[in-house]
Amino acid sequence: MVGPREGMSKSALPREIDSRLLWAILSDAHFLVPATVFVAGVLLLVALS
Amino acid sequence: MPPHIGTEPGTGAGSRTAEARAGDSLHWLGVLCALVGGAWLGAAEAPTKLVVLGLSPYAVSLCMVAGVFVARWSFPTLLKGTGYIFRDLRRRRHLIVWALLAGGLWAIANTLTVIAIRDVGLAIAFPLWNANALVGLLWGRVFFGELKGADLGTRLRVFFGTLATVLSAALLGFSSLHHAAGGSAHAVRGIIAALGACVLWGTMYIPYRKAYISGMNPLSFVTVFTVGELASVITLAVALGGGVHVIAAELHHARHVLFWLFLGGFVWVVGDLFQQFAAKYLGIGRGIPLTNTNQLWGLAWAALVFHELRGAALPKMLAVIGGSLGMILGAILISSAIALGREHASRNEAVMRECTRYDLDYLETLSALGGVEAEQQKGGRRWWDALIMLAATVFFVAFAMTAAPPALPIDRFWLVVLCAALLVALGLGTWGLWRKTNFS
Repeated sequence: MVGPREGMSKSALPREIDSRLLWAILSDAHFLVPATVFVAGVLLLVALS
Repeated sequence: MPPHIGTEPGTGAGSRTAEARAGDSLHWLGVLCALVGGAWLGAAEAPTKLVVLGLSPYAVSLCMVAGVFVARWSFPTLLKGTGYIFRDLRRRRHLIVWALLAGGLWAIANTLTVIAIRDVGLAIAFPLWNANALVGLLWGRVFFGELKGADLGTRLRVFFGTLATVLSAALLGFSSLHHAAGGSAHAVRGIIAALGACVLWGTMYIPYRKAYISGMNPLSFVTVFTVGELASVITLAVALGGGVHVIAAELHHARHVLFWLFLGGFVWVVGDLFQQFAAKYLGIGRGIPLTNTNQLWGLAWAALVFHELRGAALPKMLAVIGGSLGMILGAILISSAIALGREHASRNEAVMRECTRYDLDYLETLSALGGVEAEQQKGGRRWWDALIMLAATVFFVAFAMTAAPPALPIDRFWLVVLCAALLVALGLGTWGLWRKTNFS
């Protein structure tokens, strides 16, 4: 999913891969759940301190 | 054509038997790692007991994490070298985000426990946050297919084994108390903080498992994890501990006891490394509750070395005996719940998902999960590896030279016995990991 696509120019490759990797991470439920819990934890800590 | 996700990759009956035997062997390696991890995590509290000075919890946490940081860079360097670690990180660079996130989750949860203890006392707070193993069990099932396809007996053994370790840890926690704390006007706040810590720690196991089913070496994961951990703890200590000047003044005032806190962090890292290998070879549903046997070891240190149970009343002794037996029963139940064919197939599906999503090689990832190193990852050491080891040694020796001798009475006989037990456990765990996986 995050590998290079056919016909892609060499200079566009790293940026394209980076943006696709970033999207793969941000749309991953394995990321969304811990990230949401982390934000909720920070807010909880601020509220309780 | 995608590689098949069968129960085992072999083709014939003989091959399947060999694969199943290899799976069993990794299961028992995972059990060994979890038990060794429990022993060292339990011992980590001992050095912190020597600190009788009134340091703030933020300062204590910061000092321990500083020791943790040094140890977490020196162990991977010693065992594999930084070249190996950075190659592993480059090959699975997306996991750096998860490792940092996991470090942040740990730090927030740890600070919430400080609030929980302050507001409701350890007796109420500890059982609440200790249920994190149950949260881990849930995430393991939902996200990584752990126990999916397992027979009823295996599922029941894992569930009741986890429940037994959680309840027993609570009983042992009660027995370690010197007096009943709590009853403050902020009881609700304390309970919310403890529950928050439970969810955060339980959720922290998602990144752990994510990294390992992607084929990452636990040593690489903890190297990045500790950066997120240290950054979060420093931020929290400065933001909530009264600012840089207050924390700096506190640390300067307590410089003679800092070594014991660093040592606590160092011992904790050894236990945590084995816990990470247990999470890799057993999964979080089995590995985490099994490592929670650390309460049993914590109690052994408290009772035998520090004589904390001397003159204890009958109910307290009954809690100790009941908690210890329950913990052993839970550990036996979980250890005997070996993952079989259909559960392996579910795990392989989770591996395939990662490989498709992040462009990883399926067979290579599966091999890495089985403790086999990829050829591209092997390599020699660099000159700066020696420099890192030297810096870590100088750090500890320098603080050890300024350390004041402990003011607490210590039973030297049991100290030697328990230290010997720790070294034997370390030797067994290290030998097992080296022989079967070369620390992969």
